Amino acid sequence: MNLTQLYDAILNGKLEEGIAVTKTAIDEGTDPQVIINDYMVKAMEEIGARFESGKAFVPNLLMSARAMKGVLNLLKPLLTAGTTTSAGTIVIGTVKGDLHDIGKNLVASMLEGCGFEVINLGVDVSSDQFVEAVRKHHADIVCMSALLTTTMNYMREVTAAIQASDLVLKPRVMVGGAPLTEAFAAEIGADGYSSNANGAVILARRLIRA
Amino acid sequence: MKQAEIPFADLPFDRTEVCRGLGITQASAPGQFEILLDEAISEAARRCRPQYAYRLFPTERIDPDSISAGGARFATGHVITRYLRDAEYLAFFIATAGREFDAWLRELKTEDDILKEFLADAIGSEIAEATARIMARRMSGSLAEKGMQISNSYSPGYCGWPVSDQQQLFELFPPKICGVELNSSSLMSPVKSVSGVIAVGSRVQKMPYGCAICGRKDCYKNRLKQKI
Ligand code: B12
Repeated sequence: MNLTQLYDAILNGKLEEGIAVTKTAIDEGTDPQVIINDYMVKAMEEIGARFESGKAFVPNLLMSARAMKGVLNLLKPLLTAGTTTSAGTIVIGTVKGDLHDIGKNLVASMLEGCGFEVINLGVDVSSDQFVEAVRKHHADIVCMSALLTTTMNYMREVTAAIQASDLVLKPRVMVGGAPLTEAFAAEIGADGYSSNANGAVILARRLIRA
Repeated sequence: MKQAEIPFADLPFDRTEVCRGLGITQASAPGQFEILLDEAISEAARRCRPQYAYRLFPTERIDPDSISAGGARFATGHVITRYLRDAEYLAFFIATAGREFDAWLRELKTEDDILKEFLADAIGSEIAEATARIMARRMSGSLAEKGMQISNSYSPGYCGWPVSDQQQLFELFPPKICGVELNSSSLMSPVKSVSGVIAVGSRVQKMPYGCAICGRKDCYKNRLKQKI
């Protein structure tokens, strides 16, 4: 079985092809962990690198993430107990007062495609809802998004509520959205900011490792 | 007050603007993607309900960084106000792709197809902008007969004009005008909506946007400048 076909399918965002190749690989008894680490993750890294250098665009990222997620769903039940595909658990939402969610959904989709467990709380999310979701899902990271300068200020309240909460393990906080800047993120005490969905994945990986 | 609903076919809808919004900076996007985009545009054409409303008020006062009309003072900021200073009238407007379009966006979110969701979102942004453009064209046409010209349109949330000034702007219109509502954080719902002002007068000229003289770090146009 030539698994570079799977690498290519993920890289080119071809879900159906990816699933077909993977099914054959499974039938031939290939170790799912090898399929994931040596081919799929590598393909996602390559599409990310192409995006960073301007050779691929957001739609390409999304098509790859979609293929990745589909194939992962096929492999997950086959993984031996104890091994996990999850790179970490992330709670994500658009903050209270705000309804703009396409940017947040792109970030969620890329994180999922790159192996994170993502709990998407939707739009108009209050600080209580963020804190409770972190508690319930033992999240490693909280991601917040906003469209306007008026609504981004609510992120301050959420970071404060997380710090003031009785959560023993405090999650890391990532923020983003059109009106945000690195400086604003630092000012409100967030652990990181990124201007795009690929950068969000790189940042999340870094925060989990740190 | 002038209010109108525009069939999609009459909109100056610009597909290349949609591609820009999708972050595609190259002439040709991935092949299968072009087909998906066209499919999404035809569906959007059926699901949108572009509408606009505008109202002209005689200019009450123009200061270096604010304008007054309709009994309200708008903190338009010095960058925008320069382009409004010859205004005899101020036309405040609201334009939208319609509640029906937002309903379609919400439907798509339940389908777990992030690519289509992304395409539809960018198409909706261009529908809202194209609606504002055709409104300006028609306004320009009807005012020309009276010897008046119009400026570009300027929106709260740009160039130092606080986004919260939309509260006063909306008070100049009946509630739920064109189906658009403003929440307490000054976000319009449906999301694919724009609001703003256009200067009207016999000496008003359409000038290029004043990005060159503005250094606001929180504006995306300046961030793009930094990247180059
Ligand atoms: C398209 C657009 C519109 C469209 C659609 C808006 C919508 N909500 O759907 C239209 C034309 C309708 C519009 C209207 C308005 N807009 Co507008 N708009 C934009 C524009 C050009 C792009 C926004 C967008 O959709 N991008 C595509 C999506 C995918 O990107 P995104 O949401 O930013 O998400 C990406 C990143 O931010 C990041 N990200 C997002 N969330 C997160 C979270 C985390 C944790 C991380 C790490 C990363 C991350 O990754 C995402 C993927 O790459 C921006 C400027 C810009 N270039 O950013 C202005 C902008 C957002 N608009 C702005 C304004 C002011 C307005 C209006 C108020 C103007 C007006 N008076 O009419 C209205 C408000 C509309 C409303 N509903 O209330 C301002 C907001 C700043 C402010 N002053 O508050 C901006 C920033 C422009 C500016 N002045 O600099 N707008």
